[in-house]
Amino acid sequence: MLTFTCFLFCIPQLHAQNLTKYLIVDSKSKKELPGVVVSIIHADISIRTDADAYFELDMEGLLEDTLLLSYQGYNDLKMPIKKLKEVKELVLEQKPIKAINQKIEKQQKEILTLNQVDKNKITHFAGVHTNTTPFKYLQLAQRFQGPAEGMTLKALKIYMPIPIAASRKITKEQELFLKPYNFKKLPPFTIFRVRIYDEDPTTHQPGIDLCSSIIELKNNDQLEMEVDLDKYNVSIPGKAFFVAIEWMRNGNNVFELDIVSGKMQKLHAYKPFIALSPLKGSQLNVYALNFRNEWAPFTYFMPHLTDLAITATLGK
Amino acid sequence: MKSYSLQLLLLTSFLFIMPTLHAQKKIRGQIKNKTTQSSLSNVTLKWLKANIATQSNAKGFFELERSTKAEDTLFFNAIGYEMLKIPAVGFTNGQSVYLQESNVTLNEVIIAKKKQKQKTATLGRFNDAYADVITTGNHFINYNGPVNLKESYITAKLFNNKNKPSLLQSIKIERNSTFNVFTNKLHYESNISFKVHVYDVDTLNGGPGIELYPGGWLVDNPGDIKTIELNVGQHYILLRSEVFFIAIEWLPLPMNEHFVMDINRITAFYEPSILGYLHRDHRRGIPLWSLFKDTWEPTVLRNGGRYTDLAISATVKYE
Repeated sequence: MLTFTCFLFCIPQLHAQNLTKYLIVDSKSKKELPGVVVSIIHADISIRTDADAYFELDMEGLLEDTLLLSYQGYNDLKMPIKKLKEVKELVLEQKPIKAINQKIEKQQKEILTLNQVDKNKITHFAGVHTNTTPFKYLQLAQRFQGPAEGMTLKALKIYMPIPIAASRKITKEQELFLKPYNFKKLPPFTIFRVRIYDEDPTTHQPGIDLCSSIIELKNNDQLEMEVDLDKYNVSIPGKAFFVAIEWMRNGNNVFELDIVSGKMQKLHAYKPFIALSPLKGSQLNVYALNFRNEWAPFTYFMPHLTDLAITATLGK
Repeated sequence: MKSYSLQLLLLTSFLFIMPTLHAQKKIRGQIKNKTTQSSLSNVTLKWLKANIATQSNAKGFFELERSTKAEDTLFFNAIGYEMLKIPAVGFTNGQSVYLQESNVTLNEVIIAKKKQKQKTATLGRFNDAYADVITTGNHFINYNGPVNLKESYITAKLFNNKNKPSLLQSIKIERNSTFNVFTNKLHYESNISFKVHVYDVDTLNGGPGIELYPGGWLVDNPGDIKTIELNVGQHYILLRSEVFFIAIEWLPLPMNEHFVMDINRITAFYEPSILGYLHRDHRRGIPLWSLFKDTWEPTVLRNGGRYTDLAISATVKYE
């Protein structure tokens, strides 16, 4: 009996033994870096470092794979997972900050809003696995075409669908509609980041970061989120630019996904879910960043929906 | 000397034989009008089996290679004359062929409206209010495509057609609304697409058989409307049997995806969301059939022990 009990206690320990903790720090200041994207390329997995800049990894079965670390304002670090055996701490180097030559000749005073969205017609959203295609992206970027060069990005408005039961008042109609589903307790909030990119002159896809500081947002079940960017002073050198949503694939944002047909499948999606603009455009303006840090057009809803439901306000 | 004359004789006879040999490969003749005896030009003649054809010349003469096929038939055809067929055995080389003038004159065509009383009937009629009550109870009744749809999926509804034969006039499909979190309102998804099919009955198992309009109709972007009506009268779909089926095909397209977000889980459905209602008389047969990997199987949607059906109705025209 005693042996058996010992054995029972041993099981979780055996399992835990394989998990190793790694720390990611800045190369110069040795400052810890929380929220670094940690991707394992062939396994197609991506996680984030936690608030203390640690990530845990079970190397078994992944020894032949490649690790890719990426963080805003830092150079990407790519290394074989084998090498992790020798280290406990990983170091990221900061990118040299390029001064963007700005030519602001005419100061435009008028405020301009791009990509207006009729929220009443929103039907679809991105960020969730679908039955046919898993959503394995780190970022989704919306392309904007401004009227002139050298304008400043003043504000953003992001539309995000939220769980029905999270809306404040449940109407009678909703109640009837929701009856078949079981509700559990409310998740606390959603944390995500916003990235602003210049257009790459060769690929016309997102290029260099236009905002050096990290814009981290917290959504407490708001359908429309207004983001004031005045304090970041984001100036757009060219006419075109990108606003991207960066998913934080961590425990807070995880959302269980049940696919209930035949076999029950449990998958994990990460909040937020970003609404798609109901407008059908002539050109696809959404780009997605995969786990290998490569941008590609987000063609899932083509040819119907071509824009994310993100509105950008430009000013002088 | 003797042998020489023999050789000459052989050669001479061979020379005389040659044209005869050659002539045997072709048939010749002349085509004439049977009554006036005048020659007929531009008459087409053809070996039916060998499929070789020619035309008679200005004086009615023709020359055509012999047919290589056994028991072939010569076929003569000219406008204004009756067609003539002569078997190869019956044709003597060099003979005249007589064609009879055809006496066909075009009759005056009178187009008149037939005085027929055509009746229409609506089959599988559903009660709106009745259906709405049911939808709230069980999400099965809100009959969407199956969750986790990877391939297209078809469910057919059975219709009893007492007035056979009849023509299918229109199909009505009642949709169920979905909830929009942005407007806090129920609405009907507008950008969706699905297919509608009509099947004859398979007499072996009583399920759907031959598709009466192959390929079906694609309903694309119906708009924010509850009832989708398809007018199919122009396709003249004849319903011969007492039972026929109308089916909905769910398509696994991104625009058809519909997610219901719970607090910490998401359930995916596929549009269209068809309204369900209860059968008052389910003894009339199995109402729904679904296509699973090329075989139709009866699908029973039960709600509290009662059979449910899809809100699809069909209007037929009969005499």
